[in-house]
Amino acid sequence: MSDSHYERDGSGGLPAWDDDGFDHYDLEQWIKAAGSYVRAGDQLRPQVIDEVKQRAARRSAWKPVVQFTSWGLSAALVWSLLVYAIVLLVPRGLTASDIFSRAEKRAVAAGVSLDWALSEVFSEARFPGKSHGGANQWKTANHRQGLTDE
Amino acid sequence: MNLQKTFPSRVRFCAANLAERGEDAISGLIDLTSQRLVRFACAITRNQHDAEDAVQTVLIHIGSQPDLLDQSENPWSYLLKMTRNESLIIMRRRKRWFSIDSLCDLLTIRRVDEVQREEVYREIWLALRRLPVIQSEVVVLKIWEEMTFADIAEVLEVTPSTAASRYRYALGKLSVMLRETVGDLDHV
Repeated sequence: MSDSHYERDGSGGLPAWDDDGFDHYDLEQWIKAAGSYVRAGDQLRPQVIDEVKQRAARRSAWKPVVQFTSWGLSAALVWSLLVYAIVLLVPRGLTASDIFSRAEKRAVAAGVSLDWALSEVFSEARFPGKSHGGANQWKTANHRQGLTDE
Repeated sequence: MNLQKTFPSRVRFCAANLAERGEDAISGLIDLTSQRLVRFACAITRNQHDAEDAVQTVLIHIGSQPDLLDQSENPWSYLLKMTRNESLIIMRRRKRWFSIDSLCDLLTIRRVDEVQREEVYREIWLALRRLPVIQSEVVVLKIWEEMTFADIAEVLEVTPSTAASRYRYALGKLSVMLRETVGDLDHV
């Protein structure tokens, strides 16, 4: 059914009922006129306005809290990422257990005492570029012969 | 310029105003649309209290989130669709029994010059309530909202031919019902 079927131009006033010619156009005109018979309740408008304003007030009251929370969460997230990046990217120094295990290995390999090996490992850790080989060898040799002051 | 063309544009203007000025502009939208929305919701819920509940929920929702309406392609269709959805939700939730043969719940306008026609109007409203919802809502949108079948189809989420078919059936039933009930009346 096309819309144009119902687009007959009305006479302006309401059509009269006609038992013989009860066509849809008349019916439509009557129904159309009945549309303004019902109205919205008087309380609808104030209730809607009141509720909308209350919600707006609640929203504005919560706004600083929400903003503060979101800023706090964002800051915590950024801080966590920063800490994680630092831990991940910055080279980690030797721990006590690392030094001790290295010293143990060196003491066994070079046949020196653990405290001397510890001293060497500490020197290497503090001055990684420097060669400690000659001095160490000399010290190690003297240590073996018992010529050091110790 | 007829009302059919101007009403959706007036709603669009109201929606833009609401989005710009916030909740302070809600009264303009209420004044413009509440009567029509209640009428439409009434056709679905068949009860004015439920219809007003549905319309109130919709308008409060729009007042709280004005951008929803402003950003929609057709604000008036969007409002109708929201009202329909809300009315259907209320209908599903509704526990209480009510009679569709009564118009006690309706708030009516009685104009002095239309007193004689009041009985006819009441018969029409009763007849609309006796129709299945899927048919009465098409009648409301077609006759009271003066929408095309394409627009009605958009609101009801059906095809235009389905909307037209429902309208044809509805009008057939209404003509039978109103011929029986109103036929005895004198010419008004």
